Amino acid sequence: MVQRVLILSELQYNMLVPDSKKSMYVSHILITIAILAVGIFSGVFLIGYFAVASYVIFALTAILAVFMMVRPVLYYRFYRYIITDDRIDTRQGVIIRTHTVVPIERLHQVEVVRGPINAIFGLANVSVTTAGGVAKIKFLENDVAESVVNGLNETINNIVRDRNSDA
Amino acid sequence: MLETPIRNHPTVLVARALTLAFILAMVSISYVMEGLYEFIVPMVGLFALLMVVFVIFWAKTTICATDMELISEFNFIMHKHKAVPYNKIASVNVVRTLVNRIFGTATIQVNINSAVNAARPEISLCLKNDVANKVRDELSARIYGLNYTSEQEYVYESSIHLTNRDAILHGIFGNSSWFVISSVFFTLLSVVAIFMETGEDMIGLISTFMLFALSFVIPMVALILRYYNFRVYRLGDTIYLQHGAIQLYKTSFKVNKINSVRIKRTFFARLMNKACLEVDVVGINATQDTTPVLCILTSMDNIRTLMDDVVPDFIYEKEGNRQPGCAAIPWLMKAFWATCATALVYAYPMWFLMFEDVSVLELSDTNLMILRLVVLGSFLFLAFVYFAAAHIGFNKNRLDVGENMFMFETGIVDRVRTIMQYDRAQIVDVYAWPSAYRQGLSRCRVYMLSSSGHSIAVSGYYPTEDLEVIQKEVMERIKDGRYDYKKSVF
Repeated sequence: MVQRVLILSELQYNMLVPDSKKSMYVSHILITIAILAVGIFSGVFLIGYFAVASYVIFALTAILAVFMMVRPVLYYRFYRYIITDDRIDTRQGVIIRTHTVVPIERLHQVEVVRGPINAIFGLANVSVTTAGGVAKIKFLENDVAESVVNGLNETINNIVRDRNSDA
Repeated sequence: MLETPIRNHPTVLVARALTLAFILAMVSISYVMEGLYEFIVPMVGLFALLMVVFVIFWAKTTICATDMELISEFNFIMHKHKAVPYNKIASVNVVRTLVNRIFGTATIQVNINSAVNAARPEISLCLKNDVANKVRDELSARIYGLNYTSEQEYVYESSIHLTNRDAILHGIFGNSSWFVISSVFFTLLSVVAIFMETGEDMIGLISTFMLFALSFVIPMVALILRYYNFRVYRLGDTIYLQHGAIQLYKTSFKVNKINSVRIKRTFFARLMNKACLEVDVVGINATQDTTPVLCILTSMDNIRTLMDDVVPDFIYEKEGNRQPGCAAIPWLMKAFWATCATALVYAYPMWFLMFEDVSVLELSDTNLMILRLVVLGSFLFLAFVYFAAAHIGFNKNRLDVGENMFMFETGIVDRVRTIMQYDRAQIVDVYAWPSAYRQGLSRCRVYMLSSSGHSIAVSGYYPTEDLEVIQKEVMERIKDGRYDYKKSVF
């Protein structure tokens, strides 16, 4: 499998696979349909009583719908991740750009989460739990997700084994 | 003392019966008021059934201690065996509720290092007060390695002298300033209403008072009662807290269970040059101590003395760095967007008052003008508040990155200085909105394990590379061995 990488500073960050856009599009289309249904229904309902409010609702619904359609491309464009032997590092965000660092030493639990839409495209999310919260690496190919989880579990087990031998 | 399995004192059944009776009485009261007395029978039946369940649980649950662990067992239809090794225990608390006091008992609460069940104790054990104190001493000796007895507690003086006046001040001004301001506002409103309302309107007035009491007076009084007779001291590497007027709280935890220390100065506390000290301690039962307080509201000198004595490792001398000049832009943008959102909310009322037919309001021209000015004035006031908050936020936030710890000082009205250890940071985010990242600025968000699950500390706007130093330092300490997992609670 070809890893798409991008060099940012001294690290080679992985990019998401193109199928992640398809998965996001499907889920976003479903969400957009729901937004449009609620927005149009409430806008039409209010137009007779409170015209200004209904125009605002129509405008917000349209903006939200356009954003939901553009978001997968931008999300894909800005999402980067890297897993080294000591940390999980993600950079993501369309409007709010976030750089997250999770030391592997702090991990308590690692799991693969495969939702129905992701499953169609052979994708999965890896969810890592620390004592202070949960971080996710999203839209990995199934085999990559499995190998990430196996790798992380092995690292955690090695840490525990080293500590037990120290004790 | 716990070598042979023992059951909880029957007081727990009394406490549960009282709680259950209260809930069922509240549910039944509306039926009874409507004359539907037939609902009383099923309620009594439900009460009896649940009491049978409680009795079975009480009778079949036993607790004992071995050399290595504390064991709780339940054996009826299903078998449940819960073993808590002493080295996993974070704190042992003794709580005496009103029911406990009436029956001369006390409840020992054992908490472990976990975010999952941080909100409730892992094991609770209700015993006669003297037995409970002995058991607690025994557990403390096993966990903390101290030959320490409850009787000795009364020999040790609190590290600083705190009076009940301090407890009262803490109950009132230890709350957030918004809470205090809204309390004063509603008090004044109620007083005005007393003079204006008469006759049937008094029912509405009583409701207002009830709401006021429930929302403001009761939490304040509860806080005063909770922190009455406050004492704090340190023995070896264990910190002891003792407080409470009606319900007695005795809490102890090791210093290395502290993840971060917060010096909290609310607006009113700053006016009195006072502060309170809070700590995030893993394993303190959060239902009993939602905000773990190491010291109630007292003078800054007292806070310094207490930190010297109890948590010297968390003393952070540096004042911290101000945000760079360009950080004014994200703060101003924040105020601008808040003003825009408020303008949207105000748009229709203003439009209505200025351009629509307002005869439906039946107001004289003067009153209409006053109403327009009030609406416009309140909008301008809010906009002023947003920009003033941005100005304060820009000027007052501080950040410092030290060798073993780092510090965020945040807050606009109420200020909090959070001192954290790199080794306790679980996840570190550096994030930015467009108005910040265009200036090369970000904010830092640090996730830590706390008594109530997890806690988050957020910095002000600083150059992204300065904040990424925190991420790098966390990783470097793990790599080069400065992070000692043996000192960690995880």
